[in-house]
Amino acid sequence: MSTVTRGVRNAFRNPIRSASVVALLGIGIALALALFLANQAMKTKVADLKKSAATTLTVNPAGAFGGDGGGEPLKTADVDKVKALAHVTEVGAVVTAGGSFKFAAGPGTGGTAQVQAPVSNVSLESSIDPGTLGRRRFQRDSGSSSTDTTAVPTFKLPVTLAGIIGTMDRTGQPIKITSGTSTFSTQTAPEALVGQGIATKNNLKIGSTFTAYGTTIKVVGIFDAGNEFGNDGVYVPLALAQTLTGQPDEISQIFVRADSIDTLDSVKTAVGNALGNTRVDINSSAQNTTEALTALQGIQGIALTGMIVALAAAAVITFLVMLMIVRERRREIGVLKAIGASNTGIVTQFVAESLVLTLCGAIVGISLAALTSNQITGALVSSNTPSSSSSTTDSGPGGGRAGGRAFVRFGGQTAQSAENLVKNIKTNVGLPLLGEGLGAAFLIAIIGSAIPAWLIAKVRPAEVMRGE
Amino acid sequence: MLTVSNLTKQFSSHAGTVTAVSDISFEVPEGVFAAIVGKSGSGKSTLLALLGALDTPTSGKIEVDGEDITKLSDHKLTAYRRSRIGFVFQSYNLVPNLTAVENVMLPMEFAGVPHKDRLARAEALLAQVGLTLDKLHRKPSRLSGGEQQRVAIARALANKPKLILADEPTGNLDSATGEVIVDLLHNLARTEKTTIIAVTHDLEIARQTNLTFKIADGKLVSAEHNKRPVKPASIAQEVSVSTTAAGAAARSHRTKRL
Repeated sequence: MSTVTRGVRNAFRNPIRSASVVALLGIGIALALALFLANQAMKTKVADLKKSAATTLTVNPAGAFGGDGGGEPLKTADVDKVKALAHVTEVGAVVTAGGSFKFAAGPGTGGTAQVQAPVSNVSLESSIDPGTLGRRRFQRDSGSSSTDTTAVPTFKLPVTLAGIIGTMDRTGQPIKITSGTSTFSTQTAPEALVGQGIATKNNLKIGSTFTAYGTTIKVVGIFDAGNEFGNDGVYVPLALAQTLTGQPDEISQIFVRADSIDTLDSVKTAVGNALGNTRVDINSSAQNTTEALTALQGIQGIALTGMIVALAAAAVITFLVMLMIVRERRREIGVLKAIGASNTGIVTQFVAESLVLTLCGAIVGISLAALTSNQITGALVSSNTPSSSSSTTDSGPGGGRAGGRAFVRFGGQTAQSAENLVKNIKTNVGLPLLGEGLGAAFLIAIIGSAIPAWLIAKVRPAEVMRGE
Repeated sequence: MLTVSNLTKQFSSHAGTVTAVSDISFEVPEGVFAAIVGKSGSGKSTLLALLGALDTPTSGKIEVDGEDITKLSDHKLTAYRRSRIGFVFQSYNLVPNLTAVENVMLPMEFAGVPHKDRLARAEALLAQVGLTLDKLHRKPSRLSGGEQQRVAIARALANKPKLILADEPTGNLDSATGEVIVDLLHNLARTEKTTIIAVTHDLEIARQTNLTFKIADGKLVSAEHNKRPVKPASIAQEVSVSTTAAGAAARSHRTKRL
């Protein structure tokens, strides 16, 4: 039997005490691990939030609100001014094809005027059914009677053409290409990126063509915007769109991405100064994100403090238990020394004993942590989250005619509430984490047992035995 | 040969300095069964602890075969205790969660003896001290006091020490079992040529030894050869006994023939 084997056997010398120690250590380790997991989950969420669209500013002509507002259009030169600013990593610009379709009155049945289907400037059919609400709006916009439902022809949503520059779509989100390319050969090339919905509805593939404003345009890429309305869009080069729609040098919106959430405010100020604060409205969802980040960082701090306290408690438990065990067995230590055991051997035996108890505690603790970490994280989040219950929707500027009222339906940037941003955080129990947890527990066990054992082992055997 | 010269051990206490062992000198030749007798608190157990390097003296020398153990480093003291000393305690002091045979194997493990060899020797030693085969794998709690003391003696013999120090080896045993243990120690002294020094307050046991040191108040007051035939009768050695204590001044440095 080796020193280590003896230490392992000693761990179970008193089953009741061993079970109690394992249970105490298990709870301590479980709490520490669960809080560590919560801390890591918060850290990941904070990093994700900081990397997310919250760093994007939307710049609109002052006074404009979708297709309903006024204001003067932005200019192409404004894009260059923004690009030159510090902490700006990416700039996108959009010009929307205002008036892409028109209504024409024609003879109706029974002597009443009948509204004809709109004449679109784009030879593509929308993939979206407008539904009852869309048809009502069509009636209102076309000037027909709301009671004259039988006279209204089947209405289809128009396909909106948007000119873009950069790699962001008309909502400021990165374009996710599923086939083809995301870049145009030139800013005036008759090329287009089409959404998956449009492509399917019109049987478009890479290389297919369609007509817009009398120009034949070739499909060079198909994208997935992640929602039905976003996939109903068509993007062409900015300069081409400006020419086709008769809006030379005009920009509907500029999207500015800052390098981090921390610099977003300064970038916003700089953009306002560069373009003229009276010319532009600048919007972002940063407020909610900042609230969410503050909440998350608060929870992260609580979890870290809790973890340190729990680890310290586990360390103190281990130390006191081993101190108790060592003191209780000081006569045995004296005897072992009297029959030739070295100090190192005695310390090794007690460290092995402590490691076994800690390992058992760690197994219990890890199991408990795996079962409870999500609940503990959820409780921490729910008790430390801003109480705003409404989801604020930035349905403001942009979108062109169809993008005004129905901006969100078209995939407009939606700013979630801080509460929504921090909820549903899941912990992730990975092997490296378990390794770190076990390592920390073992370190505590080694220090907690080696110190009292060494202090006792250093004492002369006669003193140890006399102390009984 | 064990030579003790002017050995003193003092302790500090709230009441001041307490001298547990005061300027004691004596010699014990190899293969002798000696007894240290004295009242409780006389310093006999402290003396035994000093001889076994369980404690360090305040002054004086303890030479074992010419080597002064009071000057050894901690590492060498451990080696000394492991290979040259065997301890037998009044309360046996067996490790409670180890079996009889495992307790005997323990000192050999510390000495680096391979498992197979130490198991064989432990079984042989337990047989030698009279522990029956069915009790080899019992834990101390399932052995009687006499059996536990046999195991303790076997453990003391494990590394073939030259000196066995026994602190009240029969103190917790009935008289019949005590006799058996004393006989056992006698036989060991004779057959293994092992020097045995036993601390006892039982004068009857002391009379059965070759040499009796009497201690009072930390001082050696007498060193007597037992005239009665003892088990290791063939031993006839010179023992030098000395003390500077006033009460034993007449006997100091006097050489006795056993």
